[in-house]
Amino acid sequence: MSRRAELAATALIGAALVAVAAGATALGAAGRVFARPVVIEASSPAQAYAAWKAAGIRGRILVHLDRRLVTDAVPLSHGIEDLDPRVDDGNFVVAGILSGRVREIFHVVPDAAWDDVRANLARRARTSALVVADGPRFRTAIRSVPVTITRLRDLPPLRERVLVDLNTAVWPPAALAGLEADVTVTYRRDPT
Amino acid sequence: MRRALALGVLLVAAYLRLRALDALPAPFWDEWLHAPTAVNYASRGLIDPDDWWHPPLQHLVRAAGIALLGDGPLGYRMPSVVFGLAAVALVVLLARRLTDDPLAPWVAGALLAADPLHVVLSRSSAEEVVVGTLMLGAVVLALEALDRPFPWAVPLGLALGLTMATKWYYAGAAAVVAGAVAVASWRRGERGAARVAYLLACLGALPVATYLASYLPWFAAGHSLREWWQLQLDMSRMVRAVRADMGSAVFAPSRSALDWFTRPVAMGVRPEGPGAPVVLFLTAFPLTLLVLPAVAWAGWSGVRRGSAPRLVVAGVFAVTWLPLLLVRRPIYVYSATSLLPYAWTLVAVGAGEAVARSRRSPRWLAALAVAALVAGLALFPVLAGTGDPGVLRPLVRAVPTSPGF
Repeated sequence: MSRRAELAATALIGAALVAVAAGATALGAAGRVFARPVVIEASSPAQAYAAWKAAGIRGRILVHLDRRLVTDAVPLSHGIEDLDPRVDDGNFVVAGILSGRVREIFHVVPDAAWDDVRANLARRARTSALVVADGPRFRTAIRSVPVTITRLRDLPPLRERVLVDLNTAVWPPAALAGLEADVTVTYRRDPT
Repeated sequence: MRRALALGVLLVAAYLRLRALDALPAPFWDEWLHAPTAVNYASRGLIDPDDWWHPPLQHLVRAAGIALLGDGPLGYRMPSVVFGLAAVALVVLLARRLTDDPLAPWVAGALLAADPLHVVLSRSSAEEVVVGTLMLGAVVLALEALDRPFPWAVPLGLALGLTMATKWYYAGAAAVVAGAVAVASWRRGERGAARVAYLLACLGALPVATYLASYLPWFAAGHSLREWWQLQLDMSRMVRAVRADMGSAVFAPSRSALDWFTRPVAMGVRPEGPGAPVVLFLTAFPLTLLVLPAVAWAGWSGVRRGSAPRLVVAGVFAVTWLPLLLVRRPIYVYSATSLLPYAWTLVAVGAGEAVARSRRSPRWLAALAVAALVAGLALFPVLAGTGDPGVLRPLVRAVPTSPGF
């Protein structure tokens, strides 16, 4: 009786593990919401957030082609209030994270700036656990969201359609050629 | 006498944890991080703004408190109160497994019920008491599973998974209890494939499934299993790299974890601003001087008598304390909370045997418990932030990390 019961418990636990893993996978797939392809020429970076919201996307990978990834905090007092009125050019990426629209970021740095960026990140990797050298790329995190900093030629194969925002002051639109995107936002911002 | 002591322990434990629980205005200490992260994680799977390199069950526990009691001090702090009271009851059960003395388990309960650090943490939104109680539950279940793996290894695996899903403090302790159950079964000759598979399922697959389940809100934000594994690697890297400057130095008044059991460790905190209430974090010195001899005695007597339960409890204390002892940075005083249940259990059991061997009256043992309870009640105003710290005021420093909501 005891042996049978142990076998039954073993089977149930195995099934529970498979069910949790399958449930996690299904939840993850359901949490990634895509949109019909659209390209928007925006007058400011913050309009990317409005475009994501209008497209109804969620749980997505963002490819950010710009000299800098500006991650100002969204001015929330309690942390859980309505984001929309507080979004600006400095915090739209963070707002994308906080609203659940962005789950991972690839920051693609122009080749002309890479030496500076690489030197800065290499220095930070020596002093902070938050930055890690990963082959030709660097990895860090913003509010638990993984961020990979890379040149375009080192961008790894992406597993799904992505969100793209591109600063035309530092990247030509031709840089979008290899990217399969649904919501693409271009804007012009002084790279300094 | 035992009934009177039991009643006293339960009443004092509840009084010290529940009385004036909302007296300190929110946000106190890290509540400004804990409350929004609980809501963000439960509703959006986002581990923010609290440290993302700790596992997420703590956020769901706090979210349950907020859902039940509102977005305020009671909602933030009540989960720790409930787990703190459960810890007192579990310590009594744990001590019962280590001794036949009828009073010693209640002495252990009294020592934990009135421990100043345990009281303060039980009145806060910090996860220390929650994870400590989950691990304590695992140890109690493990002592049952030593003799009867079926069915006790099932709830043991669940408790280990819940513990690890709250904080990684107890990874070594989890290995000790799981290993002890497996070795005990093996030494009894229970080596069939069914038993091995059962133990692997209970002590391996079930904790993993439980741990993974705590991430379901995170998966619902669009993440995959591959991304989850990468997150675990990143968390491991961050935990190993934690430095003194990544937290508030206010909470590191001791140079090492050795100080907790060898000298007084005390500090006070108050939110910035005039007239703000003060809360004291302090160890139960001089009673803490009994802890290391009691642990050593438990290990020695466990080996001499072949008592697996004593070895398990002493081992859990040792493997939890050792990494904290070896860490090369000032250590946060609240980390001592992880050791208190085992420390006070072994002190009470050791004191019970010492009294019995010396043929003294059990009243000596009861006196130890009563002294602890009275001291706890006397300290209550400075543990709850409702009184003036008096001569301890020089210890008080402002907490610089609570910007408020």
